[in-house]
Amino acid sequence: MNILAASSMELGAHPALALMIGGLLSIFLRGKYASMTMIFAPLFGLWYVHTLELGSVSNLVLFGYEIVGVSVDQQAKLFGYLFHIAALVAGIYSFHLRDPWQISMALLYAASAVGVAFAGDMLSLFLWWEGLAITSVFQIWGRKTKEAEDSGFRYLFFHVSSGLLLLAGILFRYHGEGSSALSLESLTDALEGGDIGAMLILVAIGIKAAFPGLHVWLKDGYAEATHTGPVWLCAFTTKCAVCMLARLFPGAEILITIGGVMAMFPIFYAVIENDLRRVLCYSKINQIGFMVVGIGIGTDLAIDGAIAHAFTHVLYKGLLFMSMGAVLYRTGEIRGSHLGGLYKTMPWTTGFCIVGAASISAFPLFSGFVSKSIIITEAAQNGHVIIWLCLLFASAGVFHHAGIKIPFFAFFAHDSGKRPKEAPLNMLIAMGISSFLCIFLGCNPQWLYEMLPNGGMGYHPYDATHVITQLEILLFSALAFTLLNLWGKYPPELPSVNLDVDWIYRKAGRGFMLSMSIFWNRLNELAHQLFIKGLVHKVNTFTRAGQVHVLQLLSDPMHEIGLLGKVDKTKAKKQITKRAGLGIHPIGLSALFGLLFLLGFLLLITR
Amino acid sequence: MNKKSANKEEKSKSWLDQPGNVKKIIHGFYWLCGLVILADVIFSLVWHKHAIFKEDVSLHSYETLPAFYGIYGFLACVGLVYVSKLMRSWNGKNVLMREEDYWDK
Repeated sequence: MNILAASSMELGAHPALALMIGGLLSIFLRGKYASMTMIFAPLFGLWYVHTLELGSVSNLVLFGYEIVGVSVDQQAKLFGYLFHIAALVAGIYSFHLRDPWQISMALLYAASAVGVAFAGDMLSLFLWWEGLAITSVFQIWGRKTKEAEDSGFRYLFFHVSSGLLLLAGILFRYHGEGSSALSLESLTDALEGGDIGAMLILVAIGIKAAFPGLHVWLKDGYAEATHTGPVWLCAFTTKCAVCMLARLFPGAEILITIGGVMAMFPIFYAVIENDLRRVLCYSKINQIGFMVVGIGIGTDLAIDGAIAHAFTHVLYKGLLFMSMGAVLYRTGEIRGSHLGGLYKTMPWTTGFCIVGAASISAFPLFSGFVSKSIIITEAAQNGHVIIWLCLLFASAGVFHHAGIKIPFFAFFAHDSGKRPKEAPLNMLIAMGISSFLCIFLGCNPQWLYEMLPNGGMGYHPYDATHVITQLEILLFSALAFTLLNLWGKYPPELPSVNLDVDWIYRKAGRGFMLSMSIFWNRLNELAHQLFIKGLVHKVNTFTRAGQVHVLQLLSDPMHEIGLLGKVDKTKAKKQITKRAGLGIHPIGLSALFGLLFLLGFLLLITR
Repeated sequence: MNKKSANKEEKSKSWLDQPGNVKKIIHGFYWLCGLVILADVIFSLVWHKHAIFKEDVSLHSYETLPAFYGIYGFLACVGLVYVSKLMRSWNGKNVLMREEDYWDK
């Protein structure tokens, strides 16, 4: 990973330690004291990450294996800063929470993300990766509804699968290459050479990065989470995946195609989606698509662009989720069809939401502009014409659905008559900090570029051509929205859900279960009718009444040949019938019949 | 441009609630669009516009044309909306859209 690693200093404490201690402490604290851990733990962690020297490592011997628990390089440090800032902002936003489980798990979740960013080898990566899955689900379960519980289990299914695939990939590679396979070196060559282990690792990361087809956990889980949940969720899981993609698969060509699809398809869903947090989920997949394309292009500047975009994305997507969380918290409603006109009583939230919307749309002077443009420019510079057209389409689309639709349908549009109070102070402070950072980074991109692994390669976003063309594409997207809306051609917000890949397991899967249950239960019932009630009953009757009839039939010829002595013919018959009915005829005779039955069955079976 | 269709029935004191003001915003927005195109045209003719593509790429000469981005953005969004509407329903039949309690059934 880092060449300095071999001759470097030992670290004192793990970078995630502050967040972990905070997470464990908050279980025992109550009220606002528990909430305070969400502010102090990230602050201490942030300071500690700042003091880390590049090239430091920390080793740990576990089960006889030496694990590189921490390895500090510029990329890890940048994500370390990012995750602590995100945890701090989300912590302030969640300050009013009084659920120790949610608080504690949120901090441990942030700690897991920091662990992933600083992981020094595959084994430590795997441990933190599993930590991410388990701790994050509490942001969904915390809502304590049946839907959230079910959704949490579906979410967990995806993330536990991701962990298992990662483990399987690591083991495959370990089996083939020995201990050198455990290092976090680039797997791009192995992947393109058809290595199964590398493919499994890519799929494992792909689940967390919401690759097309593996993305449904995102829109399913986030939409059912608590009002604060998505603020935490959107910062860590997918960014850990981007961080790992940049480490393990830089320049993997397949990522360009995957990223292009990710940037494109969600915007169509976002336009017709009614749940505004789900709209944000789709736009999130679209934004991660940009990062995946950047990593796939693989030049130093493109990788820098992807990482810069991950950084700005956490801030503005967190801001948008915060504004929607505030709306959900105050109105109990998040469906676009039931909202509107909230700007009258929630002006601050509206303003912050518009800052987030401008940032995600990459308006000049807002953070998205300085990061997204690197990726788009690099796609063009490297001759990816179709991908460039896709990314341009996606830029226009994201402004359309996230930049305009979110603020418009929540705060303006038709007046829903709702007059909620402005968001609580802690939420406003958190949104204010994020808004400030969005504008600050947009105006001073060199602060961000200097932190990037390759230092931004002297890239300048504020070039006159670039600013004019960007404004043009954005304003004309807005013009399309305005005109379509005025002409009544824009699809209205309708109370509805839209089918996605989850149909496969939520409906087809359930249909399969149902059809199987019908088939096997019917078969069972048929078998019951045929064998238990039919055949067995008949055999039973036959064994009870059959011998009586047979003996009755046999009694005349037996009497003829004198086997029954000299008793009267009718009397002997009566006696035999009575004995046979009571079952007290000679044992030998029943044994004989038993034998005959057995032979009969044997014949039936062997035929 | 977000603030264009505020409620027309309600006569509250809010500035945005008056249809006249919404119209003003929309008109201002049209002017802004025109201004950006004008800036693009002037910039293309008078100064040198940086091409994003290298010269051997087919899009090189189109991308530097004035208003290329504006037209592309406009068409992209119109296309986006119409395709999304088709994804919702085709010939009056639902394609991907289902009622809200669909998953619970």
